[in-house]
Amino acid sequence: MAVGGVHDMGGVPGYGPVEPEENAPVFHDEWEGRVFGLVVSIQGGFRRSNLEGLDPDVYLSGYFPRLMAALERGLVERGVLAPDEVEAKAAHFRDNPEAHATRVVDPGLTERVRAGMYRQRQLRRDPGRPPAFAVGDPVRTRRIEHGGHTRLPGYAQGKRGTVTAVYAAYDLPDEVPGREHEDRPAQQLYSVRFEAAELWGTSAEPGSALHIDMFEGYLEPIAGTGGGDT
Amino acid sequence: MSGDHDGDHHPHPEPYPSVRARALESLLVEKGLVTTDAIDEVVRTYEQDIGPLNGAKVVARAWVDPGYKRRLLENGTDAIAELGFGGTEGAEIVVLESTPEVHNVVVCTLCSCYPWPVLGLPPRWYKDPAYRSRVVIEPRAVLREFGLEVAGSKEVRVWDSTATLRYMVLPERPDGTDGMTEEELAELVTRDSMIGVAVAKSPAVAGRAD
Repeated sequence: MAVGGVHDMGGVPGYGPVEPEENAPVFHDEWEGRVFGLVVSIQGGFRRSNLEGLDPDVYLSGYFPRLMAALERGLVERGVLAPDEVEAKAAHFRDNPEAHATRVVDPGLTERVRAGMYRQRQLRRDPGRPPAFAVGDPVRTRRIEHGGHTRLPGYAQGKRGTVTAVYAAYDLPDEVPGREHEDRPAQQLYSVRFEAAELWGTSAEPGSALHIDMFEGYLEPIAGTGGGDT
Repeated sequence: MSGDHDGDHHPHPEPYPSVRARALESLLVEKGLVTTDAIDEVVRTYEQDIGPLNGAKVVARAWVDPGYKRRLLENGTDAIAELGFGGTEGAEIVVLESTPEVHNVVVCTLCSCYPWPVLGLPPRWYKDPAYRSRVVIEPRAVLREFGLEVAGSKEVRVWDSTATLRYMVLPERPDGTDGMTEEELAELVTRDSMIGVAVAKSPAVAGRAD
């Protein structure tokens, strides 16, 4: 089921009960906030594929540990950090428990980071052509074979659904291995409804359905039904 | 934010993730990519300023103002911006109305996409494997673990937030809230009710909780 790797979790058995938490803090430990602050401050520090490429044990060790690991990977990939640099620095701090992180303050940068948290980004793009599907069209999802980053979950590949919303066009997030830096054309985004039985067969709970965002390239028309590209 | 341990004289060795995070921060500060106070500001913002109280105000406004509710369901991002909220991880927010016929619940099976400007950062369970793997295949069972029993006559509609859009649930307005002010109504709107793993609090329960 998890065709895309450990992160592709929808429908995968064995993860146990959900553990809700009353009155949980935003950050359970101070270091989680520091890592989060780094990720927000250093825009473009890592890509989702850095997260998805982590060793499964690291990925499953928790949100902030994997966020930190992905940030390190992304910065090593960009040449900002040498491969062993963080490890060496960590050894220094382990051996010198009283040592603090280097402190530098810069109110100007802080103001820019602050403004960035409230900046409304425009993500809509011109796809250059009208949407191929309309509300009500029956569609089938494709199977993603490229092995790289995609936003089409494994459990929803090769399944029949119905278009329920035609959104706007956005940059396609898929990354084909070896072609990560190529331009990808914007694609129309839809919401597609899947009946639970189509996705899960006899394991489906009655009275439930999934609505999943789908880029146009994830979909093909179902022939003979009058929908889509007929 | 206390860096001190509990004051006994047998300090535990610092956990490795904490050491490693300090190493990473220190290196990136030394390289000039970030500053200490910028990180402080991000932490402070998401601990204090950007959280589910924002979303609660949006929901309460929609409950009292039909024109606002219509705009919110048509273009969530713009209607939310009317109340002054927007920014990182909220470029496109879609609001889902729960009704007597449909109960909406949101997940991101592939990572942990979440509408930060209205809900803040997601709780730990939202990012953990149990919720992400199970709510798509057995939503009613998962909702029961949160203490929510959805009537069999109601559709449970699960939204897997897989792409650019971020989803927030507009929960049903509870019974017995006629005549309440927008501020009073906002106090009934929990984070969980805007994810869809709970309904809004009823005024009687909210009163007892105080």
